[in-house]
Amino acid sequence: MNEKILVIEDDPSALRFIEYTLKLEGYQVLSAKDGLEGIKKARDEHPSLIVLDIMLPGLDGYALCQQLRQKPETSLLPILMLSAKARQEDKDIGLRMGADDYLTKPADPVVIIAKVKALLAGTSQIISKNPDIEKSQS
Amino acid sequence: MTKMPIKANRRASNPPRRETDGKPLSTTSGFPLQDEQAEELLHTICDNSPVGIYVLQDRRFQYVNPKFVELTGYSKDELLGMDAMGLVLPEGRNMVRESAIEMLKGKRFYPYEFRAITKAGKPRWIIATVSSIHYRGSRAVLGNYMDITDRKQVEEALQAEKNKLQSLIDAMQDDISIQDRGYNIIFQNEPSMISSGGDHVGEKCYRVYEGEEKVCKDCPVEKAFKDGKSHTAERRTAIAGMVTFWENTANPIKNAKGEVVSCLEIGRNITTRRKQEQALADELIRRRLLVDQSLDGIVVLDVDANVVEANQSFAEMLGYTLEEVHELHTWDWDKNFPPEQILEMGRNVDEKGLHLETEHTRKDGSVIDVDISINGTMCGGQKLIFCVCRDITTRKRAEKALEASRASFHNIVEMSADGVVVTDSNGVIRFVNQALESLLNHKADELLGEMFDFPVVAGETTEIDIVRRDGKPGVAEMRVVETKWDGETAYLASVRDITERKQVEGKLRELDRMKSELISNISHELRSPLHATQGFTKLMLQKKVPDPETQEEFLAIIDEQIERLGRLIDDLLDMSRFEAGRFSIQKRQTSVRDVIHDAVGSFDCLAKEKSLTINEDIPASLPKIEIDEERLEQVMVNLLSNAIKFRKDNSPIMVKVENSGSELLVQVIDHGIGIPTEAMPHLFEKFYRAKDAMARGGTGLGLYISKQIIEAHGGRIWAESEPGKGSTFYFTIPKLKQKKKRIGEILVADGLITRQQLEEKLRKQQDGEYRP
Repeated sequence: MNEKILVIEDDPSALRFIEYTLKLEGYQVLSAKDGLEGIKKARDEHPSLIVLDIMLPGLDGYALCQQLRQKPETSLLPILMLSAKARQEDKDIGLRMGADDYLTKPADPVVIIAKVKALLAGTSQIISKNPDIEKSQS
Repeated sequence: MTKMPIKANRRASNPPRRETDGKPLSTTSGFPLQDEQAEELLHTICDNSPVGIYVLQDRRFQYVNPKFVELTGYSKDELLGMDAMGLVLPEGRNMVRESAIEMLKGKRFYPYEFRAITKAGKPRWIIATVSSIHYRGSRAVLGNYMDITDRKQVEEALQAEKNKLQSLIDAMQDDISIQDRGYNIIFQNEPSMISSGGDHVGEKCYRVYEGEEKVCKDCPVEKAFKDGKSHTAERRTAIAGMVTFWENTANPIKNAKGEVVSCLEIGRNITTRRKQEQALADELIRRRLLVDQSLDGIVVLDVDANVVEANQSFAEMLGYTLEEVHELHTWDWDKNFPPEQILEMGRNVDEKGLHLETEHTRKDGSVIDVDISINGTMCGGQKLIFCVCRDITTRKRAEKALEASRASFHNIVEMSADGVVVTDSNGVIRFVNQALESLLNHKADELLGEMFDFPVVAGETTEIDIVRRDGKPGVAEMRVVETKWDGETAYLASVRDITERKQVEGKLRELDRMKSELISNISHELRSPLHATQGFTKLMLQKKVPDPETQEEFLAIIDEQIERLGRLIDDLLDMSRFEAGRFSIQKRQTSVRDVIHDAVGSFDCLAKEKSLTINEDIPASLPKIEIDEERLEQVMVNLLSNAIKFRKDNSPIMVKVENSGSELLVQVIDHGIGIPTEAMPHLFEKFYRAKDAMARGGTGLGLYISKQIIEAHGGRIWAESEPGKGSTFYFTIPKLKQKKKRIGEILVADGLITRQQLEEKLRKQQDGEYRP
């Protein structure tokens, strides 16, 4: 359980929360505070998964996601978008840009962990369609 | 001239018979008397004879009786011994000689005629005979000599008359025949023979001409025989199916006693005339029918406007009987023209005619519209005026209704605010209304006949780009329907300028979009602090934060995030106050320096974490001025937050205050990413958020609220920026008290004027004074 997770988040309190939650589950957590730093770490640190905010200074989450998908080494990297942008269209854009899943802030730590585990296990789709989990996050 | 043997005359060229001739005195040759006795006897007989008698020996007169002397005009002595040929005109001498020789030789038995000449030189017609005798012992010629000049003259005159009559008869085309009292044809001229198929002289006329066995019915000849007068009858014959008409005139021929002895019948073929008459009669009937059957009223007038004739339709048109109409004058039914004018029209109208529309008054007083064609012509020596009148009341009413309808249509179309254009099927403009002229910025005469610039498809509504009168582009909505124009397929397009509507719609859409954006942003801004707050709360509730220090750290974050939520809610409330005009500031005498210092101080904790440097350049001696310190600090925090948000490479931020005359000028200077030029005019609009790099959260209300606050203080706020190098935000605060503002505040407080109206007024008053 030493999988490396990269959290790209500019809001310090939000980052602190997600970092704590993931570490609690035994994941190794890397963080980046803006898009460019995020790209760099995603490429250099070989994380197993990225938790990605959208509203970032400089390069936003959508663009970052798109860039990662275009690079061979990160094209299959699981990406979980975690954003306060709660409209359906925001989610649609995120998934279109290449995110594997999308969670809306505020998010329950249990749901975050479930999503992360599912994505890492490659069963994200099954879980995302589980109505119980969907309910618990809204 | 009765019972003239005309036919005999026509064929005979024989010398005329002489019924009145006397017997020849001597046709024998030789007289058995002795000379003396014979001579004495001869002289005795001859001297008393009414006939001229002479005796010739060797052509010379040996004896002449007194009558001969009288006839020749010579004396007896002159004649005796004179050559007999001297009495004959030279032209006849040979004939006389030969006739005499033939007679003396016994070859000729009838007298001969010749012209003699008297001593006085007068020519006389003579008839003579000669015979051979013995006189005084020798052979001699005894001649009889009678003057027939008078008879000859009568005969010649008669012959001339006969010739004339013959020529006349020959020249006549009519059939001529003469019947005697027994109806036997005694003469036929050539046409008569041709008509009857040959020479029928001697046959009964009724058999020849009619194939009857007795005198024909109504025979004019029979009548002429009865009363001795001329009679005429018409008869019709059908020969081989060809009908011919004849007019036969019988003229009685009377003898010297006045008795009718025969009858001259002249037959004239009148078939052609009869056919013409029949055709004329048929034509008249046809015309009569036309007139009677005509739906148009027909009236014939004389020059005095009396009705000469009218048809039933005319009478019905006027509501009179036909009899009544004949008692009327033109002015009885046409009140549109004075009688003098009607009479003048009647006098002037000719065969070319004239055409006019007028009104006729009916018997019942009602008025109808009529259309009249008038012709004048001479007819039987009298000028007549022929009028054909048509009741066009219905048509006229329809025309008026149409005219009215057109007028209302015209008004509606012309008054319409929508442009109306009619094009034919080729897109050529046939009609435009005023509104369209304005819409397309062209006069009607520039448009008519030209191609319409836009495609017209029936049943479609399209938006078209137009150039408005001010030269700016606009949008119009065009609806097209198919219609008829002058009977042909055309398109009617109504064009409505929807530029304003479009602009409003655009603004509304923009507003809607901004509102939706705002809600999204508010939601985002609320969710961000909630995220941390809820996340830590749940972790603790789930007993996943056993460490007390960590618990404390998390609670501090929760506290901070709740504060952030509070600020956010304040911003939203402020905005809604501005919107409703309920925003107010509470001013107190305050040190601007302290306020700015506090604002900068609020970033201390952040400054440490983010290696932030905020430099202050504030003059030590700043006057206290009347401000709302909380609001002013809010402005400073907003400006500093932005500066921090958009700075790059941890570059320092500078806050600078200048004492500038009647006001203080505050500047917040950063060396950040700068503001795109296109975003500059919108910086202080609510919800405005620059795209791309500028999209960094926030409510989009910070600068908007700051502007409201500064303006509420009577100051101004603006920004200068260079993309890539940084931005400077400026605002001013007036140092002096604003008395007007206080009055204004009272007005606002009393609800007499809204905050916005007041501020608008104040801004206008101060514009000249504070413009940099």
